[in-house]
Amino acid sequence: MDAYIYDSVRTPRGIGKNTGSLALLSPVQLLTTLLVALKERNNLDTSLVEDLILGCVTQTGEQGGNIAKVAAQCSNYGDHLSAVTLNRYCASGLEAVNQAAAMIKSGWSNLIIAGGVESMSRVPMGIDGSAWVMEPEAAFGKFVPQGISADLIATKYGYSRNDVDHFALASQKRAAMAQKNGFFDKSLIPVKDINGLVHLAKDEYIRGNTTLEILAGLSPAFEKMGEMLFDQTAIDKYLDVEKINHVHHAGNASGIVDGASLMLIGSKEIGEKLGLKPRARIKMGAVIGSEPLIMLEGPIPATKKALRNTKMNVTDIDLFEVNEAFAVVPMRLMDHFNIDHSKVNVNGGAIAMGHPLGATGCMILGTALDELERQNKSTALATLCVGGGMGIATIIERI
Amino acid sequence: MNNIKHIKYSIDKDGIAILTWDVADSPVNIMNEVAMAEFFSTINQAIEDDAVKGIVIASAKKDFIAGGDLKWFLNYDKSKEECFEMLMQTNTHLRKIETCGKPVVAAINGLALGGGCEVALACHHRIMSNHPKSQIGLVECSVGLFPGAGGTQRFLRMLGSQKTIQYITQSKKLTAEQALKDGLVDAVCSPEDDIIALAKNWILTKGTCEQPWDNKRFKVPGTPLGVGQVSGVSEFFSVANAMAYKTTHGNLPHIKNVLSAIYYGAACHINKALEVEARYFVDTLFSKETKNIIRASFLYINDAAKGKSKPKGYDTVIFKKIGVIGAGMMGAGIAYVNAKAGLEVVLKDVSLEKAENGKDYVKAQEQKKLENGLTTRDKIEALLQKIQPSDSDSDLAICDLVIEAVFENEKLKNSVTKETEKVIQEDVIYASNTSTIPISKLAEASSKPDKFIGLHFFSPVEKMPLVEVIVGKETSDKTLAAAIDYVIAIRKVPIIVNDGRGFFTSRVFGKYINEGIAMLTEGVPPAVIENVAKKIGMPVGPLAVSDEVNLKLMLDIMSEDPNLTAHEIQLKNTLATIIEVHGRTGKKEGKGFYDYPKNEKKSIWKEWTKIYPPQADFEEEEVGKRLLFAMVIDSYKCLDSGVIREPKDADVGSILGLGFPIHTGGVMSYIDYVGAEEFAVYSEKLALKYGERFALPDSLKKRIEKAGTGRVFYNN
Repeated sequence: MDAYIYDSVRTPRGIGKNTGSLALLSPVQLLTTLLVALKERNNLDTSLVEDLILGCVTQTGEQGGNIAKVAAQCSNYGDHLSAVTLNRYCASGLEAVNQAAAMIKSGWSNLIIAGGVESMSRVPMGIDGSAWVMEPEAAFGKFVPQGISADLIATKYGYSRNDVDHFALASQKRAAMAQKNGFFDKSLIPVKDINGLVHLAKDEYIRGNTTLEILAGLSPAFEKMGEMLFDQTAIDKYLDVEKINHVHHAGNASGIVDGASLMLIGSKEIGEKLGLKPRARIKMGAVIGSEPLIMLEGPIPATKKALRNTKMNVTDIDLFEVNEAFAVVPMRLMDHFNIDHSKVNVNGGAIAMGHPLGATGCMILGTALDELERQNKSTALATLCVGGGMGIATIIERI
Repeated sequence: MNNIKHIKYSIDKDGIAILTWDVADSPVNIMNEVAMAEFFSTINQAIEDDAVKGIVIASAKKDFIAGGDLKWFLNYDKSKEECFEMLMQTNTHLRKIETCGKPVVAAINGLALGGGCEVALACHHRIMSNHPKSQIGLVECSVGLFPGAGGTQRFLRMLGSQKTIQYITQSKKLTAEQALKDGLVDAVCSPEDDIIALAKNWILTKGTCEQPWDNKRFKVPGTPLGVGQVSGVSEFFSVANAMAYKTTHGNLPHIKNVLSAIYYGAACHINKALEVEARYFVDTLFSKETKNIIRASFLYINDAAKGKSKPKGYDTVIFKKIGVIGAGMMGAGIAYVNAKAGLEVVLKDVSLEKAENGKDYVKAQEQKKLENGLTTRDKIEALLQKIQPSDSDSDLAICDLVIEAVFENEKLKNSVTKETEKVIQEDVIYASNTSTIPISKLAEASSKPDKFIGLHFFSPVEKMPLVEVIVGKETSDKTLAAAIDYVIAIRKVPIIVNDGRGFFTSRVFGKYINEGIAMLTEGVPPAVIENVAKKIGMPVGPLAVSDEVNLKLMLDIMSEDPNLTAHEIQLKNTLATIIEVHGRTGKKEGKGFYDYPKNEKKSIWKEWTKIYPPQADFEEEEVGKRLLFAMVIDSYKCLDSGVIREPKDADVGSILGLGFPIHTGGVMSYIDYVGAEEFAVYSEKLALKYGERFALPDSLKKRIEKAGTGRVFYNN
C-alpha cells in the first residue's frame, strides 16, 4: 500500500520573541488555524480523519501535556479524533509525517493528519530541561550545546567564517526571491485574529537585503561560551582539533520563530472516496543515530539509508531540502554527496525564515512538494539534523 | 560515662549540657572513629536526659574541629557495604541531633573544616569567633574526597546549588564574616567573648530546634519546583558540569561524584539526600584516584614539606641571611621567596643596575598582588627592605648560605664559585641552582666540596613549590640536613636527589618532551599530541613546553650529554633539522612548534603536517601512554640507579615539579594505577613497536612479577 500526500499547509513563521507577530497566539491556536484551513480547502469529511500526529519539542506549559489532543478538541473535527504528540527534537515534524505514512502503508489507518508546532516566543527552547543537559551522569564530559557542535563540524571540515556567511546570504536572497514571487503561497495560511483580521500572512524573519558585510559584522554566538565552558569537552573527544573556530552566529544559523505545519496523508482508496487528488507519494522515511557530541552529522547517513532502502541514487533526487539549523549542515551534505547548490534549498531555508523546532520537518517537506510542482519535477528528499546525534530523511515522488 | 577520652561533658545549673571536644594526645580535634563514637554516645546521653534543656558543642583546643582523619580513609580496608552502613549511621546520629527537640548550638571558636564543619551544620545555631585564623568550610575536595557527613546536602539547603558547588569543589574556606553573610553561621563574636556563654544565652532566650529542611514547606534555594523539573537548574548544572570537566578532563572521580550527589540529592527529602551523598562518597573513597590523591598530597607531599627525608641526627639550622648570586629571573625569584619567608637577602650581580633589576621584578610581582588586594603597601615595603641589591662579593661575607643562580655555563659557574669562596665564612654552604650540570662536576671548582650542594628551583620560583636538593659525591650529610632545613624555612618542598645528568625532574621531563617530538615526526597530528597530553592530566603539551624551554637550549643540553641512546641521537638530529632547516626555535623567537602572533593566541605551525604527514589512525590510548610511560620508566631507572632514594620522592617530585597528574599518585604510583601486570604488558608492546626506551629494567620486571595482582609500591 502507498501513502499519499493530499494537502500540505503551514502558517507563516513569526519572529520568536515576545514582539513577534505570532507571540499573541498560543500554539494551539496556530494548529486550529491550520486544521480549519485543511478542512475548508479540501471540503474534508473530518469524521474520516483517524488520528492527529504532531511533533513538538518543548512540551511544557501550553505546549505540555499532549498538545495535539488539545488542538483536536479545539478544531471541531469531532470527538472521534485521537491525537498524539511526539518529540524527536528538530525532526519531530518530519517524524510525524513518516509515522503517519507508515500507518497508512501498513494498512492500520486510512487517513491521518501529521505535522508539528512550536511557539518559541511563548514556550522558550530548553525550558523543559533535559537530563542530557544537566544530569551529571548523562552530561559530564558528554554534553555540548548544538552551536558548539556546529562550530566543531566547521572546524573539522575546514569551513571558514566567510564560507558559512556566503551560504547564509544565499539563503536570504533565495527566500526573499521566493517570497516575492509567491512560491510559498500555495501552502501558506494567513493567521487571523478572533475578528478575522490578519495577524501575519507571510514569513517575517527574512532579511532579503542583508549583505556579506552585515553578516561579517555579527559576533560569533558560541565563542565565549565555548572558551569558558564547552570547547574542552568537544576537543577531548575530537583530539585532532587544536581549537574550535567559532563561525556560527545569529545570521548563519536558523532563526528562532513561531509556526505550525500540517499534511493530510492517506491511502489511495480514501482519496478516491473523498474526491481528493494525491499530490505525491511518500516513498521512504529513515532515521539514524549518530555520535551525540558532534550531533549534527546525521543528515548524511539518514539520506544514505533512505536512498538505499528505495534503491535510489543521490542523482535520482531532483530537489533537496536540508534544514539549515546551522549553515554548515547543508554545506556538509552538499560536499559529501557532491550535490550542486542549485538543487538544495532552492527557496532558502531556516537561516532566512526560521526553524520552529517541532514544525520544521513537515514544513520543509511541504516546501519541497510545492517546488517540485512549480518546476514540474518528480522527486524530492527532505532531511534534518537532530539533537543528541540523529538524522532523518524522507523521500517523496510526485504522482 | 566510662572510658570517654575525647569528649568532656557537663551540665550547668540552667540544664544546659556542654560537650567539649578535646581529642586526647593531639594538638587539634581530629575526627577519628573513636572520637566520633564518643561524641555521639555523649550527645545521646544529653538528648535523653530530661534535665537537659539545650546542648552546646564546644572545643577545648584553639580550633573547633579540624576535620577527618585522612590516614584512616587511606587505609580503609572494609567493604563498600560496611562503609555505606558507617556513613548512614553517622547520618542517623546527626539527624537525631537535628530532630531531638532540644536546641543545639555549635560554639565555633576556631577552624571548623571538613567533618568539623559538618557537625556544626547539623546544629540549630552556629556562633563563630572572628579570630583572624578562624575559618569554616568543606575542604575535602582538595584531597580527592568530598563531604560525607551531610555537608553536601546541608550546604545545598542553606546556600543553593550554585554556591554549594562552587564552595565544595574549590574547597573554599570562609571567614566568620563571610560565613555570616552566606548564612552558614548565625552569629559572629570576637575571640575575647565567652562563646559558650553566648551559646547558652541563645538557648535560654531563643532556643528554636527545627532545621529549615524539616519544615514541610522547605524548598532548596533556587529550585522553586525542584531539581529535575525546572529550567534554570538545567542551565546551571549544565554550566557546572562543563566547568568541572574543563578543569579535570574527567580524571577526578570525586569532582564528578560531588556534582552528582548535589544534583540527585537536591530533589530528595533530606533523609534520602543524605543517602545519595553516602552512596557517592563510597564510590569515591573506593576509587583508585582518590586513594592516590590522599597518599600523594596528604602523606607524601606533607611529609616532604615537613622535611621527613632529612638525615637523622642533625639539629635544625636557622638561616637569617642568604646570598643570591645572579639577579636574573631565577635569582630574583629566589630572593623573592626568601624575603617572603622573612629571610634577609643579598642579591648580587655584576653591576648594581642588574641587581636592582632583579629587585624590580619582585616589586612588580608585589604590585600585581596589591592591585588584586592581596597585600598592602606596608607589607611590600617591609618585604623589599629585606632584599639588598649588590655588585660586590664582600656583601656576601656575612651570609649563612649562598645560592649561585648565574647563567647555565660551567666555566662561568666555576669562576663564580672560586670568587665567592674567597669571601664567605668557612662553614657556609654554597649551593648552585643548576638544572642540568652535575653537581659533583661543579664541586670540583670548590675548595670545600662537602659544603657544596645543588638547590634546583623551578621557574617561576614564587609559584613552583618544589626544590630538588642535589647531593654531590662529596656533599656531607650535615650539609644536606642544613639544606633541607633551609628549603623548609622558605616554605618549599624539598626532595633529595643524588647527582646525575638532569638530576631527576629535568631528566624525566626530557623524556616527555622527546616522546612528544618523536610522535610528531612519526606523523601523529601535533594537535592530537598536545590535546591527549592535557586530557591525561598534564598541564602543558610536550610541544608547547618545548617552545617555552627553547629548542636551541634543548639541543645544547643533548649535545653535552655523552650517553645518548640511538633514539636520542636521532631526536637530536631531528631537533637540529627543526632549528636549522625549518628555522623553528621556540616562543622567545615567536616561532617554535607553535606560531606566536602578536595579540593573538598561539597556534600550532601549519607546516608540520606537510613536513611530517599525519597518519590517520593514531590511537588515543597509545599516544597518552607513550607520554606517561616514557616518564615513568625513566623515573624507575632513577630509583634503580640511586638518583632517587625512595619511590615517594619520585612521586612528590613528579607531581610538584613536572605537573604529573595527581590522580595517578605520581610516577611510581602510576605503575599500580595502571595495574602492574598490565603496565608490564603494555610496556612490552610499546618496546616492540617504538624501541628499547620502553623496555622495563629487569629489577622492575621482577618486582612486578613478585607483586602479582598486588601493588608494587606502597601498601595502599
